[in-house]
Amino acid sequence: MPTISIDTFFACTLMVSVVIISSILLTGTLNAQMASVKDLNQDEYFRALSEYVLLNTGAPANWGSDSTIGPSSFGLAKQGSLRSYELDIDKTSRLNSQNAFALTYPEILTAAGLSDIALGISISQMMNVSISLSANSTSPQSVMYTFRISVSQDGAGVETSLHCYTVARNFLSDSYNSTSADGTGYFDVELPNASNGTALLVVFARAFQDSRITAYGVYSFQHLSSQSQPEDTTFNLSPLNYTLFLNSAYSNFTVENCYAFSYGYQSNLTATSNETYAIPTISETSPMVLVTSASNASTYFINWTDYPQVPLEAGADFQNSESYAFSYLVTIKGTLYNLVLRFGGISP
Amino acid sequence: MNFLRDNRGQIRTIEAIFASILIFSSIALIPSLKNVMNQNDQILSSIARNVLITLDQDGSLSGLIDNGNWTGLSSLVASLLPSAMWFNLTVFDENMQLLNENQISSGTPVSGNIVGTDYVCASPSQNYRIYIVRLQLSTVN
Repeated sequence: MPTISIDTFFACTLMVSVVIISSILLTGTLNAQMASVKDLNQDEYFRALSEYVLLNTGAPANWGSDSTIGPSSFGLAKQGSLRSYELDIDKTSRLNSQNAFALTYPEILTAAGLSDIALGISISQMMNVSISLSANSTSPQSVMYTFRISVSQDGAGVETSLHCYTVARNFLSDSYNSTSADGTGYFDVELPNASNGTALLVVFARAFQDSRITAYGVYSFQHLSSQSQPEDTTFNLSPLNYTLFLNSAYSNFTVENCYAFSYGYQSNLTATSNETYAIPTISETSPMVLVTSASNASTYFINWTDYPQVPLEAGADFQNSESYAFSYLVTIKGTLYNLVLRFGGISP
Repeated sequence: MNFLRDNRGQIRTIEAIFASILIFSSIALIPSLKNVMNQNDQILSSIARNVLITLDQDGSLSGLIDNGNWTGLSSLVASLLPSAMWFNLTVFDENMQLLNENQISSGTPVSGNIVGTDYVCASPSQNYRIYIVRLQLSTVN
């Protein structure tokens, strides 16, 4: 066999090998490219959807405050707001399943125009306020309770100013305090023996650098009593359109007090009917905590809710499943919150 | 006729065609890699824009710049960003002259991809000054 034939044979073999290998590599890379373009398109689509939900009021624009109507188009922005990412207090409250006027998941999907896409919305406070009872000491007329308050953001302690409210039977007190650089503070309250039963400690924490970063925490405890608190679901409180709606179960009880607390203000709620109370429109940049105490012959209890009803988790649960997540800083009633919109479940 | 029977250059032509295919395929792949990077950039850019809009909503951004309170601005930006995110904020006047003499940053520069977003804000004070704020973000692994 001539040398040139051998040379040609090897050259052809080498070339065919190169072509086959490069084709295989090219196919793999092209598949990756097509997948990435598809991901990019989905990402853009979901991002546009997120922006639409947060920057539009939905239709009708007052669907949040009117409990009799649901949205035909889903949007959470506050009506008439000139600020971006400012959400409506009632629209967000109606996403919370604890609210009696909450939207169902199918209603949210229909209003958002999503048929084959799952949607999840979570809103959380900028800071986490955790409260624990650290000590108590008894005297003949009263009990002194000491609470440990920890304020953190992403797990790191935050130096804040605190405003603490204590509510018990025929007892209401408040005081200002602060947390140190590691986010820890202590609060003492002396409860008289006469006001036995369920007691509630409401703590508001405000970051020094921005008053819009205000969060709250609530701690319920028994004072000289072993009586258990009735189920929250039995005695539901639903704030909407600056009105607090009490569940009909309250009709068997006498409502003793109804309070609204924010970082800087407290107010007694005035009854507008047997089951409704007017919530004051406090313009302060702070969430509100609404506290109701009620009793009958044998039971005394204190129930509470927040307004806006945040933190909340609405829609699909994407735990252990892949989803597109978009995080935003949003403002509700002048207070900053973290909002995450998640999309997933689109057919491949 | 001799010219038609002369096939000595065919294999080189085929080789050139295959080489061209390989080169053009490689070139075609470059935009896809760029797109993948853009997806992460878009997330960072969106976060930066959201933070700057939030800062400017109540006038605190221009207020802190007016007062030259760079420490306050730094802690405020840090409180609005996730802890696992590096940032660097630079403030310019309308002539792009640097205003912050101190670095407004969450620490030493990171080696990862850094995305910057420019934002124009106006001071509501009587001077009506215009500031250009550049926020650079990167994720810390």
